[in-house]
Amino acid sequence: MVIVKLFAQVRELAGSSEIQLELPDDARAADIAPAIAARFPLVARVMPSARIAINRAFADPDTPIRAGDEVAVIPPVSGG
Amino acid sequence: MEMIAWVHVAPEAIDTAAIDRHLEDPASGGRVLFEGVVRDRHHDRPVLSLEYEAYAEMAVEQLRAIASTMTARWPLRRVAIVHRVGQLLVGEIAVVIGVASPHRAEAFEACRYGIDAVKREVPIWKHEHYADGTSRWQENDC
Repeated sequence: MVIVKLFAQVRELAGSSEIQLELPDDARAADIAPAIAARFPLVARVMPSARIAINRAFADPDTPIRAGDEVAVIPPVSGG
Repeated sequence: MEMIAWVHVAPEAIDTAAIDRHLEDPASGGRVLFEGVVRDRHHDRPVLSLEYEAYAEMAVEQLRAIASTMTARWPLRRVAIVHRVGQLLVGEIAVVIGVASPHRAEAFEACRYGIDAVKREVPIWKHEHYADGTSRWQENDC
């Protein structure tokens, strides 16, 4: 079980700022988007442009996810 | 030795006088300050107001990393990066990048790098509200 933080349009489309995902023990960052898309069909459309952050840093697709990691979906940013 | 880099993400109006004070340094012959301001339109659509949402904990860490890159790449004496969140009105300051360095060339270059990096790498999102009652999450072109 991993808790995933959601922001901006992803948060709105999912209707929640935090969700829990069941992932296999050997899950990697690349597994987050399909898992979210499967559970929240409305979010599927925006996941391809989103990045995944693990422990407050952008993660490569093959970065492993470990128990207790802080995972977040980062849709295209628009600060500044 | 005073703190070289100051980064901050908060809903309060940005205190530019405090940033000026942070940048004061007798060995610096140049200071460059970029202020990003809420514009009254997005392309041709009139904007009434907007909100910035942040993943605050990560945003602060990303700002720190950007400031570190700036001080490693250019001989800067002071750096300040401050981004506001929450609701902002047209004309209000959303972001400030300030640098102080011995000479002007590196101050301009570092400041430009700083704002471009903020727009690319910091988890902050702008939700614009338009005069026609619609709203939209924006995406930066990086």
